[in-house]
This record gives sequence, structure tokens and C-alpha cells, in this order.
Amino acid sequence: MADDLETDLETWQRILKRDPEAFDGFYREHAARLTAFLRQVTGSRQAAEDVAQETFTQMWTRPNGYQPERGALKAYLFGAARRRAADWWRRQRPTEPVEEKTQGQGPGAELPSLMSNALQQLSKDQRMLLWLREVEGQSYAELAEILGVPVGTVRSRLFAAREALREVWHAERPGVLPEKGKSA
Amino acid sequence: MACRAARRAAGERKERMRCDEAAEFVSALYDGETVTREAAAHIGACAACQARLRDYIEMGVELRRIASLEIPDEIPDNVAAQTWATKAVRQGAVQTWWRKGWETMRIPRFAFAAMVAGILVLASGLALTRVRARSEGSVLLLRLAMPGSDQPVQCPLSTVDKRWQSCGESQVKGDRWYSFDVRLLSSNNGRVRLGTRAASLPLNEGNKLSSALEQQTQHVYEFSPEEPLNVDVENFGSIQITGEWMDHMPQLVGVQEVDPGPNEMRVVAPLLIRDKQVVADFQGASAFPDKPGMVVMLNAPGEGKFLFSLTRMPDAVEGKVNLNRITFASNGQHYTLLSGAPITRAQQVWIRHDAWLVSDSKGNAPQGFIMSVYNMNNAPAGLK
Repeated sequence: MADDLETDLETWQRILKRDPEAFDGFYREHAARLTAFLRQVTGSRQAAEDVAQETFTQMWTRPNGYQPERGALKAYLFGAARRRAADWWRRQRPTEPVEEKTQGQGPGAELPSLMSNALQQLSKDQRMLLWLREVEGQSYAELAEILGVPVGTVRSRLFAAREALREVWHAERPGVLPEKGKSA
Repeated sequence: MACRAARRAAGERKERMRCDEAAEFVSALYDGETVTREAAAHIGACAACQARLRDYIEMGVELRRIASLEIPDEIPDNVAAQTWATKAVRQGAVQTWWRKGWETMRIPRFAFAAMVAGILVLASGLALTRVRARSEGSVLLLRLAMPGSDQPVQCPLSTVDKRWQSCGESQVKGDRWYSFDVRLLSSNNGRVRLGTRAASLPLNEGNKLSSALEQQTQHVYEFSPEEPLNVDVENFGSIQITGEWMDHMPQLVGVQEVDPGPNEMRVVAPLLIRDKQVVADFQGASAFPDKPGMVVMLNAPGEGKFLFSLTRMPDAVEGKVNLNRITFASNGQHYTLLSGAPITRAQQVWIRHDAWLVSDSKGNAPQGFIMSVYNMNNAPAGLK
């Protein structure tokens, strides 16, 4: 953990000095995952790519926002992207993006699955939270930083999101019912 | 029953926690957190809580599995930069300089591409009049070549913003109106599905064109900008559709220079103001007559029909032009037509104002506002 923070600090200091290789490496390390995350948040592949580009451009043109003592660089990046996605949502409502059809295998292709369908039935905030925790491995503290809420709130929201997903997921699976406990 | 069994098995002290109380602790345990002793004891002995934990594990694995399908193993070499580079190269003039710079630059390529795209836009004469980038997503700029017209209709369609996913054109041919619209239905990797409809009505039923169009069967086509699409409209002719992808919604479609050309009028998203009150807002509608004899017609329910022409017309009043506005008087009232761009090089235009409204056969006033451009020399009697 300490090593990671040190690496983050070194990377950021190089970026502050306008080191192109450092930023290029930073971009390559995070762009794909960030775009996948934004895809979940925006529901649109094109919007995800646009917001990702805007986020990285912001990081390059205004690099002074990151404060190492507040958390990892990745958490800062995802937090910035989340805020940009929120701006995107505010511009979009009440419109909806054009239906996107993806076909076949390969990078970016979306295979239908029970979990994919179940995930889409959650609110975008719940999808975002689960993705950050389960896929990106963000800690409670990092999630608190990204979302701008206390750690305790992160914990309870994660629980609520998991329960919502669990309920939908079980409903999608024929013949499988969630086992419910009883009170005393 | 599972929780009663858990209490009996607890042993040392009586377990009072219920499953609904323990549930959030199950989530925390799954996240690698420690929990209270009471919760730990309950979860350890409770089949339902353990089933919940197994579900969380299975859900987490499945989420990461589908994420692994979403996230490519490696990103294409600066995809964003390539996209912006392609658009910059289309500008043409700085192609050589661009390629040389690409090889030797020292800042991240996509950032460089962003800066160059900005410089190109500012350097070209198009920027001031044409571009105010909005990041709604990909825009497909269609060009509709209408029969008998040498000026294609430009139609920007956004893949994200539903306000910009359809457009249309109406024209007079002979003694009939012909209306055509095209709608963006879906997009997929540079190819789109377009829906088109066409309608035709007698000249005196022009106010019913919109509703007539909505009742028509929509024809669906697969379209790619590399392959022109020809759509045949009965008794009207063939409409050829071409297009290109843009990275922004153009603010002024079809306008190349700020300064109007000779014989040209530009009426862009105008407001009609009567005695300092807005009486008509033609939001999003524009007209660009550019040949002698062509006029702009505004039909404003409640106000009447206005024809604007650069040449004198019978029963017309003279209006003064000041950059993007035309002021004139009619029936004892003062009007201003306020346009979103400079209107004409001329200092005056001629306006004919009729109280007559385009109404349907039952005498009902039309719904909404319309704007059209037609040639006075060929206009049917009812529209002169």
C-alpha cells in the first residue's frame, strides 16, 4: 500500500512536470478500465469514451487537483470521472441515448448474461458503486473519497446495492430462490 | 428455524441478533472488514446468513467475469488520438505539418491531437461561425440531395441527444407539397439504421404535412457514410443521402462564412418581435435563400404570413436591415425579425405581410410554426 502511494506520488510529480511518458503510461494503465466503468454509469459506449477523454484531458491540463494524502491516484481519477459523468447525466435528462447494439465477441462486445441484465435493473448509482468495489477493488476509504460521503455511508450503500442486485439476480434465475433467514 | 438453531448452538451466551440485523455485517465481512462479536457468532451459526455470503461471492465473481469481457487486454494505440488525428487530417491544409509533428512530438499524443484540433478550428474561417463544441457524442451529418435542387439539405443527427435525432425537408413541386424526414434509429460501429418517411399533399393543405408524415410507413435503411443511399419518393424523385461523422453538433449548418454572399439571405432560428414582445420563436429552423427571386416565408399563427425578399414585391413594405435584424412596420405595428446570424449584405429587404393564415379545409389555424424557402418566380398562386 505504501509502495503504491509512493508510485502514485512519483507518477503525479512527473505529470506535474509535464512528462509525456508518465502521462502516457498513466493513460494506458487506466483508460480501458475507466471507460468500462463509465459505460456502466452512462449506459452509452460513446458517452463513456467521451467522458473518459474529457477526464484525461482535465488531468493533463489541470493536474494540481490530486492530493496524495487523500488517497490513491486511481481513486482520484475515478472520482473525477464520476463527477464528469454526473455532469453528462445532467445535460442528458430527460433524453435517452440512442439504442446501441453490439454483436459478437471481442473487446467491447457485450455478452448477454443474467448478471448483465440484473445489473442494468439497478440505479446508476448502485451500478457505479458495485463496479467500483467489485471490479476496481476500491476500498471503503477510496469509495468515500470518490463519492464524497462518510465511510459508514459507503458500507450501508454497498449493502443496499448488493441486496438489490441479489434480489434481481435471483428473480432472473429460474428455479433458484434466495434463502431468507427468520427473526427470533 | 435456521436462526433458532443458531441460537441453540451458540452455547456460551444467548444469541439475540436477527438475520436482518446481521445482513449488513455479512456484506462487511465479504468486503474484508471485521465485525462485532455478536454478528460474527450469528453468521457463523446461521445457514441463511452463510447463504447470503455465498451469493455475494458468486455475484462478485460474475461481475468481474463480465467486466473482464468489457475491458480489452490492451487499449488500441492511442485510440482517442487517432480519432482526433483523423478529423484533423480531413482539414487538409496542414496535413504535411501534422504528420511531421506526429513523429517528433514530446507530449502525449492524444493531448497533442486535442491541441492541434483546437488550433485548426481557430485558424480556419469556419470556427467563429460554425463551431462551439458540445460533448453530446458522435454526430452524423447527413446531406440530402433533393431532386431538382443543387443545394443539399444538411441534417445533423446525434447518437446521444434525442433532440437532434431527426430532420426533414418540405418542398413544393407543381401543385403539391412534398415532405420527407429521416430519423436516426440506432448506431453500431459507424453504421446506422435510418428511418425515412415521405408524404405529399395538395398545396392548400400544407398545414397538415406534419401529421400526414407521421402517419406514413417508416422505411428502415442500413447506412454508412462511405456508401451513398438513394431513397425513391413516389412522384417526387430520388433523394440521395450521404454523410460524415463529426465530433460535435454544428451550431450553424450549411454556413461557411459569417458574411452573407451576394443575393443571399440567412434567417437563422429567428424571433419575430412585435412592439417589443416575442410573438413567434422559430427555434432550430433556418432558411438560406441564395438565388434571385427566392424568399423566406414565415407563417406565424396569430400574426400571419410574412414574405421576406431582397427584391421589391407587390404590396410589400420596406424593412431596414441592421446586421442580424430587420425592422419594419405593418398594419400600424412595429416588427423586428431577429436572426441568429447576419442576414444580408443589403441594407433593406421587402416584406409582404398577409393576415391570411395557412389553414385547413375546416378553417382551423395550423399547429406550430413553419418556415419555407421557395422561388417566387415559380411559386403557385396560392403562395405568392
